[in-house]
Amino acid sequence: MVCGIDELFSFCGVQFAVVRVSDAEADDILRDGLFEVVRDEVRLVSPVQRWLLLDRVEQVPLQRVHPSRRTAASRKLRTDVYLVPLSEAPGHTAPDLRGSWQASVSRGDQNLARTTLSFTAFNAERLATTPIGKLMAGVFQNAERPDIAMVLKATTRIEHAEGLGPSHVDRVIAGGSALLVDGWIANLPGRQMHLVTSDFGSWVPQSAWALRARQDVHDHLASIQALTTRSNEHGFVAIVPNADEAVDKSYYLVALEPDAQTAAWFGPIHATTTKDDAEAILLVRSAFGDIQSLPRHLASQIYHPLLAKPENEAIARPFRFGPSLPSGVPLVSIIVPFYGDGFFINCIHHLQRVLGEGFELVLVVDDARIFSEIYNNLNNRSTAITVPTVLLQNAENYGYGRANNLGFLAASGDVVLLMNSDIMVLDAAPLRGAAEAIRGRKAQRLPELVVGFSLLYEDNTIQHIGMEFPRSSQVGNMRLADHPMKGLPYALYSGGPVIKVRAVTAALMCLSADLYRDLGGFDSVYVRGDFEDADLCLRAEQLGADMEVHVSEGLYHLERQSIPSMGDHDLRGMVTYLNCVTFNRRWEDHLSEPAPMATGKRVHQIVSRKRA
Amino acid sequence: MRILILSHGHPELSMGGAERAAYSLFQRLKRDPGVEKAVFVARAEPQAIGHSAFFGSFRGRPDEILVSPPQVDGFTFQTLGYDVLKQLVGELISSIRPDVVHVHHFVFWGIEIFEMFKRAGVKVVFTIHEFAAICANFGQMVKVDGRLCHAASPAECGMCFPTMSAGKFFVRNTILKSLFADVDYFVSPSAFLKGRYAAWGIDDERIGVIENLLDPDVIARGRLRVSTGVIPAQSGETGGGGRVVIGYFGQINPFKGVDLLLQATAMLPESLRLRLEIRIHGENRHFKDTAFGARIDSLLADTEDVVRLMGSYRNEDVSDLMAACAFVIVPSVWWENSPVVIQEAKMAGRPLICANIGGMAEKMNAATDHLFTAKSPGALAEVLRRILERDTPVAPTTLNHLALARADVDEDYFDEHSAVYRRLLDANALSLVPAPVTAAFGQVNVDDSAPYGNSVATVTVKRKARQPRG
Repeated sequence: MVCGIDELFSFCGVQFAVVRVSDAEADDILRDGLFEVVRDEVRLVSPVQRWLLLDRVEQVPLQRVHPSRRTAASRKLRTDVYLVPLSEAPGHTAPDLRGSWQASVSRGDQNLARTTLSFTAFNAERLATTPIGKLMAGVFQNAERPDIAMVLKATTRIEHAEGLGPSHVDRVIAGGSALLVDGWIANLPGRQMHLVTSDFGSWVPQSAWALRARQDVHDHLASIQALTTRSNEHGFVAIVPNADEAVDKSYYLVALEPDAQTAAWFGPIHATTTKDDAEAILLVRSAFGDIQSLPRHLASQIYHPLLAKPENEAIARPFRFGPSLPSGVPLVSIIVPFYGDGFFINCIHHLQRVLGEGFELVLVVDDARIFSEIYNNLNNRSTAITVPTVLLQNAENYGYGRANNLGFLAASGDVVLLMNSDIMVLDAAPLRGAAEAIRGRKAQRLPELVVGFSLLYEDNTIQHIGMEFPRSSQVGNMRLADHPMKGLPYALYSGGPVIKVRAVTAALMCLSADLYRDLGGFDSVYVRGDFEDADLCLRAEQLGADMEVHVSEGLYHLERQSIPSMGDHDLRGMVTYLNCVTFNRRWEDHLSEPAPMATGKRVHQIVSRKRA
Repeated sequence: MRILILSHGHPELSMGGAERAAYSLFQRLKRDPGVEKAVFVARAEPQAIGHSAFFGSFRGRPDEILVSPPQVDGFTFQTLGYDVLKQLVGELISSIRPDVVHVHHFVFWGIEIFEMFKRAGVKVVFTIHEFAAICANFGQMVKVDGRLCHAASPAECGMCFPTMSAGKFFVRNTILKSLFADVDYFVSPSAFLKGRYAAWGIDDERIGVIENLLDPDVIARGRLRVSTGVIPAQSGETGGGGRVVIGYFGQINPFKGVDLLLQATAMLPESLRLRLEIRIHGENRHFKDTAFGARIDSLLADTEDVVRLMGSYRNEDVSDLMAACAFVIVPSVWWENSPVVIQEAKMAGRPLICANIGGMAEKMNAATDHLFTAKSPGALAEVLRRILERDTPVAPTTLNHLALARADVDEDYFDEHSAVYRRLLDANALSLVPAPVTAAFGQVNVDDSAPYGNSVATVTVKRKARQPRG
């Protein structure tokens, strides 16, 4: 083989491959070769110009040739080993790397190598024994992570954890998708430390740690004459993001020598973790400060891992009720996530009575506590179920956005209707009308349409007639997703039956399955059901879609009453603020521009990731 | 005509006014030559059925069927076992083949029974007995702090039940109203109750006011007593020592106002107490070990010179026991609907002392009865004082005439029920069919497959004069 793919691995958010190329082909490949790794709709590519020469091996080929016929050139065969960086920068939404990938090297239409590989763990020893670290350093330097680059450039020395000197990890708490390491290291303010998980999934430099005064440690170090700094901030709390529960929780503490020539990797240190979301939040608040008190980028960096769910692979078990799906009939798939309160299955029972044909229900139970209640409720009234119904039992709590995305994967309709469980539909006609409007647009090849609805509270006041994004001093003058006329009597609404808006609530939102797919569904960067819908609409707008609110009576949203058990008021406030920060980082500038006019152009397809 | 009377209990197993009213109607239907078949179907505990089947018969009577349906959600009244209930209703329908089902309560059954009968082509009549659909506080329309409730709204109901949001009450209302769309005709024993349901969202043209029937035995005993003039030996218009006897009949629970009666009694000066005897006929079965029970015990200790606990009584004896009293008192602290005890007192020819609200006040005869301000022990004490000091007893002949009038009018009430059934059955062309339920929030859409369409006819049940005869 003249070209081979040896390895795929991920290092601190950047994916790499190791490729071997024999010298006979090297020139051609180096001219216009392309490395590619693909799974489903995720494709990572690297043109040869980005490849980094890792090693060059020369060897004499074993040939039965008469010595007199050998030439000098044929005596040695050169093999170049390249490190192939596969992503632009760490921190971009990382694909789920688990499972097998198709890796290939090609040149134009010609395939030079093709194989199936999995991403394997990177071993820290390679940093000490091969030049790979120094090559990766360049990648991280370009990716604006000079802190990582600096360590990788230095000579690596792997040492036992005890070599670090006086230090102690008091506790490791798992909260949200993060791991919090709470401890102390002697003379920390005078050192350049990093915390790196041993799977190389996360790299947390000391600059991102919260240093804490530890007078007890300070006194102890003084008593043993081990003090080298006047500061008593020997304590630290480090937040390790993306601490997948399935991954072995061990880490290195890396000390970069003051001259930056040597980096000592102490570990791996195995962490005994305690899962406690509330305790984790308390620790972060005391160490880093309240979310509202932090600069926006830090608010997100510190609190997002804490409040977000771990991004494990989403798995759900389906149960089917009612009649089977009709064939050859366009369907509206109503996706209803359930969390916190099974009471609202009553709204589904009512829906069964008012919907009629042309619908299917996809109920996504994202809360193990209420699954049996909902399952039994459906199972005990199977003869009353007239609408084809799929019940999904999520393996874990994935959060609102991912629960909807998972529901979408189980949906069969050409039109998707996202519906909160606390929506009460007295009249299904507006739902049919929206679906027909969406289908009509597609039939005429007009821009896609996202339809929201006028929603009322139980006292006939307005819950939603569209969203606006005013700035609010309550959230540091950021833009909020605001519902105009919220709480005012519906009778006061004097507008027409259709309102053009920039965004609508996903509490009840209708769009084509194609558009939902093209958008990749909700972005799970938002935590626990906030701002996803505004984000989805603004992304749809960028694809050329129009947003409308269809105004009619008979649709009620018993808002916020379906998630009473999410947590205390403080937590809700933190979640909203965090999502607000995320939303504004993405859309603040865009929203400050005038709203685009409808383009009238066909929405173009984008490469999307099918993910839940 | 084949008719199924469906009750939430058998009066022999659970003594409540609604069960007795349902059973009295059943007994009268059995005597009607125009009725081919009448069957009484009552919900019962499995122990009362006595074997493992969902069905059984009461004392082996083939036309009194006991049923143990699946449990019901206490908030929305939806059955927790729809499929099982549907099967049970299906078996009842296929074996009894009713033309009409007259439901006397959906509690313990599930609100879906209306749609189950309706979809099987059975005409559905429903007698409302209290405010269960409107109010989650035992259907009393009394706030949890004891204040009377004048109107329900999701937000206000949520204030009574902080763990249940306004939204959940909205869901409750919506479900109940939409399933009420399957009722062909509502019967309300009082105009007051009808008014509350109409205000809640049921079209008032779908609700007729017809008084409950009385137990034929009670009527027969009443007639006998009037004709012979003999009051049973254990009775007497006055108690021992010439005391005026005031009788309370019913359960001792927080809604019936026994505590209020005892409070009022305790307020009376001793000189009046010497002339008064309060007889309490009834039991405190369910509230013995509660704060209410302790309160009753304490009040009884304060009034032991006046109050006699008579224990429970058999329904067939009620008329005689009432006749042994000078007055019958109904001191309820909730609105009531049309208490059977009021009708029984009328049948016994006894004047009433009643709280001045709801379905009680409506049934009073100004010439003979006394009203007091509801929930006010002081007001009741004042009425008692007036009776003891000044009141001239109503002439026995007048009371006898009133008793006979009540006996006679029972036939009118039965005729009105029959007229409803007949109209419904004749309504294939001309429908006595409800308009879609109109609620405060607008119109409820019902299942398109429901066997009635958009045509709406208004039917008013012609009422016969209810004036006492004779």
